[in-house]
Amino acid sequence: MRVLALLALVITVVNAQEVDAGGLDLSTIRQLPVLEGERYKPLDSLALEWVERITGARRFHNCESMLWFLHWRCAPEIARKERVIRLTSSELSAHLGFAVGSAAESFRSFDELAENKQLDALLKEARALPEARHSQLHTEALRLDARSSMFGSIAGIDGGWEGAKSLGGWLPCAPPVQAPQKGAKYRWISPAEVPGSGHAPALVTAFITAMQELDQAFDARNAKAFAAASAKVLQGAKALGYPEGTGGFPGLESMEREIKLNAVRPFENAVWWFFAAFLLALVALAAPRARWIFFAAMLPLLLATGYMIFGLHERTVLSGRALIGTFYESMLFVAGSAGLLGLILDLFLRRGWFLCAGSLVAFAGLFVATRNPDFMQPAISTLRPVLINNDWIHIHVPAIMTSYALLGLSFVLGQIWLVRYALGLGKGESQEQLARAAWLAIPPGEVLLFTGIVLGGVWADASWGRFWGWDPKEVGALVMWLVFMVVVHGRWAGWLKDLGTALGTMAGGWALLWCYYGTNFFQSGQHSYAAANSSKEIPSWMWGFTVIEVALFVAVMLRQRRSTPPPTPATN
Amino acid sequence: MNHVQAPLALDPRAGGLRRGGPAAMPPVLAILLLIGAVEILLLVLLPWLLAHGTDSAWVQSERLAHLALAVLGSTVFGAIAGITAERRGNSPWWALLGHAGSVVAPLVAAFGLVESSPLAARLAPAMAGTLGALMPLAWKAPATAWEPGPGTRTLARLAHAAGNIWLGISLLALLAAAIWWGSWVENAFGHKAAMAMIYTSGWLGFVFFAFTVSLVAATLRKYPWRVDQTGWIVVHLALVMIIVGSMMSFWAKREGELILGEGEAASSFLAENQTRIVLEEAREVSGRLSWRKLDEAICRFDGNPAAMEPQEELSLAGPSDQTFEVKVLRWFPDARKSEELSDDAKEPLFGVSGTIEMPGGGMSRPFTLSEDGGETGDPTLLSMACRRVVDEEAATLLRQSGAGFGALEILDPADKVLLRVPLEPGAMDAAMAARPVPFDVEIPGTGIHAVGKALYANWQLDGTTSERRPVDASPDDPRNPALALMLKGPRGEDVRWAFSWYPDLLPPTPERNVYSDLRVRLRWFALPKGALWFVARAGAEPFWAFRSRSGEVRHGPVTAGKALELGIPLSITPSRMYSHLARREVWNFAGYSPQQSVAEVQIKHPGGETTAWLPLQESTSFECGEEMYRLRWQRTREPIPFTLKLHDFRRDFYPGSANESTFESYLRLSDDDRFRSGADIKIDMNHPLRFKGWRLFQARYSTENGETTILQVNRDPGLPVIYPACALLSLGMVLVFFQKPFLRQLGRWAASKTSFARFGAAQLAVALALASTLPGVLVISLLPPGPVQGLGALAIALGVVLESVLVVRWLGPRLDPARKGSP
Repeated sequence: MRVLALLALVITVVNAQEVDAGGLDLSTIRQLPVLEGERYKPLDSLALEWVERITGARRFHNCESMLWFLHWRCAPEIARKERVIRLTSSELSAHLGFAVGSAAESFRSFDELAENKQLDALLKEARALPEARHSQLHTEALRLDARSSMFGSIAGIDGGWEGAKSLGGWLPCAPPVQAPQKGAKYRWISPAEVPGSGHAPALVTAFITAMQELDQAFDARNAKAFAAASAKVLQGAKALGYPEGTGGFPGLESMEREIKLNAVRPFENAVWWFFAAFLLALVALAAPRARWIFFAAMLPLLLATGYMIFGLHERTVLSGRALIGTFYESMLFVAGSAGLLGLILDLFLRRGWFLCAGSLVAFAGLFVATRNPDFMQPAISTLRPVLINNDWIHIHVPAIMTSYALLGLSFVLGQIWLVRYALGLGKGESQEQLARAAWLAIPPGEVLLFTGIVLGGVWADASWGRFWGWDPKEVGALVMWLVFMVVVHGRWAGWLKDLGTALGTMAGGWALLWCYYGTNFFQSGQHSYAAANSSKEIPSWMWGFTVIEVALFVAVMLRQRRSTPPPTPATN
Repeated sequence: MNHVQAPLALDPRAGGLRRGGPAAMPPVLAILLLIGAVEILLLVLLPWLLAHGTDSAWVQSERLAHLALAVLGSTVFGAIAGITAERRGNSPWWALLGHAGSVVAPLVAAFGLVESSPLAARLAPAMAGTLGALMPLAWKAPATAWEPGPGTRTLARLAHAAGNIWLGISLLALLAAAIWWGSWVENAFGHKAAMAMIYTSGWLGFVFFAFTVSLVAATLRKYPWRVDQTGWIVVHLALVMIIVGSMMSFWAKREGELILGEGEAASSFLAENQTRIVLEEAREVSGRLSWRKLDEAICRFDGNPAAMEPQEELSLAGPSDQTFEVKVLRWFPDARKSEELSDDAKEPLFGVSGTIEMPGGGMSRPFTLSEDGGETGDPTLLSMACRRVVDEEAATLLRQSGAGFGALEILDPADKVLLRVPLEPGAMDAAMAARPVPFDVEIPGTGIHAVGKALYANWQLDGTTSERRPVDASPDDPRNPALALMLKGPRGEDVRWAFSWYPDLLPPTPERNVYSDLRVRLRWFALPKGALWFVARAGAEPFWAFRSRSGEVRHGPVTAGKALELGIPLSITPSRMYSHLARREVWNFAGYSPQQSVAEVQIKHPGGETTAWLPLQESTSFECGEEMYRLRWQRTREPIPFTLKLHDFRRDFYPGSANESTFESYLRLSDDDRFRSGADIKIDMNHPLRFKGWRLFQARYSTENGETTILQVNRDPGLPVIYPACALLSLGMVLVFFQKPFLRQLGRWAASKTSFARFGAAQLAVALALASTLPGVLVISLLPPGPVQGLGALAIALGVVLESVLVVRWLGPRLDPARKGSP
């Protein structure tokens, strides 16, 4: 019997196709304010963030997130059989008995996961163990379960929502009767909770009716009814009474502003403009006589920088807190700073190397930041108490991040120098200019890094009660400063020539990577809040990077050995 | 044609000091470096090493600061003495005279003058140093100028070698590698282990010391200094200052936690890194058990969590010259206590264990209940308890949907019931926030009347007013039934409280109660809403009873392995029942959170030997002959020179979540000097209290035993040195990196001028470096607080670059006539 049931399940499971928009106008319902992730936001943002977390894409199957969200909410019995929940680990896939291979196999339906006994056992095992003892498989299983629960919440098919199917799943869009009070927990409720919420019966009826009309209109793809119901839902939710004052609702204008930011997608757009700038800078370097290409490369860089400034400004205004509060935002800042510094430095030097390295660092940084929703958690979020009401976050973090950008530029320029050297291209004036550029980025980077470390110490003194606590992040930053100081002293002493300096930037780059990434993700400390989803295992890309670096080092050493003239035999 | 070049006749003096020859430092500077290094080792490092981990005054910040100050003074006086002597043709070893203060300082400290007469303690070494520094002036200059001997020459060469840049680079690299390794040790064994094994270890201290010597030597060997070396000297000097400040912090810092519940006051805190084992003796005072401290010892074994089998032995003095030897066999910084259950206790104790499975599947957790425990579980979801009933009537009533019944019983010392009064409470009285119970009954044969006052179905103390009066928090839900009554009789009136489920909560005592020989007992048999009881009864199988939120009552026999039919999504399955439940403590180790340190100790005492687990901040008792003793392991308590009382602790949450957005402590500060009548203050995140050199920060909080604030306490005498040193280092780096070409030109210009002009040029260089950071500083300080201040950091970077370019390009050629007209 169980085999038959399983067979039936397998037959009924479908690969998700795009959701038919049916000509519905989603612009009104997007604005519906919700209270989720500790902040008020439009439904548009909630849908974007949750659908991206579940499927891994902002436009899953080329279909916008709002449609997926409404589809899951309004047609849960169909949606639960669709393969939309992402499985990020092939090891976990194999462990759960799923086929591993095509891209389609990396998605599973809610029902498939709910019925999987291996997953159930793995989750029980993971929950019984302390977090420190979790294997990567446990971590992946818990993440998968979180995605599945998120789906279940939206669709209203997880344990807690069984009794409220008629009013859909979790959607915290209705303010409760009680206004937020200092010292008391406060949350918005879902439509299913509104009838028992204590609101006036007339308001409850109006809101619930509007929600039901909306769901029906979406199901029927009735554009006119959907538009009318959307407006009614907005009105109905507002009539329940948005809270004002401290901790209150920021207003519908703020919702519209966030929707605009979601539509512009500044960081996703900036990625490709940085890439264009990088390509043009490469061409400019290859054709030094055609100076117009050098200036042309600046245009996409300027455009990308404009996107970055707009995006960061809007995020800051909408979050109402510091410019950089999360690992994702720090990546954005480092990328933007690298691009801008590359532009500024090449306005002085006019060789094109900084333009090339700046746009490359910016492109790589932004690409990683915008393509890893699980890892980076791009949603606008709130901060821990220690990070708020504090001006140091506006000073220490940008100082450190700008130093990362400068030292990152030095690292990339050093890498280009080493690659050219290993390939036998390392001769002539351009190679000298490149080495000089790699060196020039170190001093301002070192000054800013040290200043940032000290300012961080002052902040730590004000917040944690100690200037220096040998926290892994502090140690990482000091190690980086010391490594670059070795390069500086080596160069001053004449010990390090261009090759030595380039190899020094390689070591410094490693220290930078460790300080920025390693200490956040592999070492626990007081800066762990700066991390997104930490992991116990070193990711494959880092192994790949290590192999490339070792290979480059070996190639450079071989080249150096070949180019060193053999010692002249002694003659009498 | 070959030309034979005559050797250059070198001036034997440069910058006023005698040269040391090729690859050698000026002898006087080498001597000063050696004396300074030895002095630091002997006067600061040695006392600290000898006294570390004890209560000796030699590790108190006052004495260490006194010695460090003496070394600093001696360095100055020694330099004056040595240079004066050498310039007058005498031996620069006269510098030793300037260090007279370093001999006087420890003597002064040994006689306790630092504590009793601080001014005299400071003046004495300073006077000795001054006298020593003046001695070379009083001494007649020799006919022939001093020539360095072979020892001094070797010293000058060694000092010169110590400043070698390769040595400096090697030490930099070694430091980077060592502390990077430290971060891995921290990851593997925790912060404390990394501190013990790497960051505060002797070998890293030696590396830092060698690095400092190398830095100073590198700076001295460049003497006479040029203007273009200004930035470089500033950087080296700043680094030395940072290391000195860090050492001061390391030696004299006080750190810990101040834990205060609401209404509590304290003028001491728990030290961060020191614990003690305390031996206490049991005593009976006024019929009550109390503990008297006999002896204590500072623990060293918990300094390094990576060393888990320290085998440290502590000797504690007991009464009558008895000695208690405590050996720490093992210790674990992160452990978790769990219970091992069995059914072999001597006394009967009813208990049930099993599992609770949350709705939605997956979340499952074990539970253990016993009749001597209270409620367990989430009260908003379900509360669980084990109860025992004495008669079948009560058992029957528990299984009914009604409100149950209540009765007051008055018992004599032999537990004989003298009076039983059935309770018939009236309607809620708003004034007393409870139900009046209007009875007035005489206890037969005593002449004492029991007069009913009020009945509370759910007795709680009202937290909204300062009076904290009792209220009936939920009159329809008997969650904590309590009765207030009065005993009136010939000897007077006696107010009594009886708690149904906590019969021993307020036992009568002769001091407090007139009729202390009479006990009162409230019997109430009704299930609260949302409560699940496992009920034991005499001569029959236990059963369970559950009353839902809507009032429906379900019950059934307790069968191991069979889920209770509660009619709610929660699944509860008893796995075992116990009639004589016994609990044994079991410790699990490695990586559990929250951290609980526990040590396994072997106690050898005159009565024998005992091995026990001793958790931090807890105790373990043992018998020795007729006497009872206990061993406590506790964090050292250190005093602060003022008192803090917590009035209120508040938290606020982000909307839509249970995560705190802020937490604040409202305290009253009392201090004999400044706030005799007290001052109200608030400590919250990023807004610490700074008072009398102490700083108290809002660190954490706890809600385990009411609202409790945890403040981080800190006193760091190194910071006044570290902060300016860091600023100086940043400034020096700007000079070195960005204004070196300009400094060279400035140096060339100043070379032909007076020494005063050269000094002025160096000052100008520093001022210009400072100016180049100004744009960023202005952005940060002038703009209103907010995210835009972040641009200040970028402005600092740009300011440094732009202003340096401006200075080098524009000002430089004006100082360098040779290049003025060059294309």
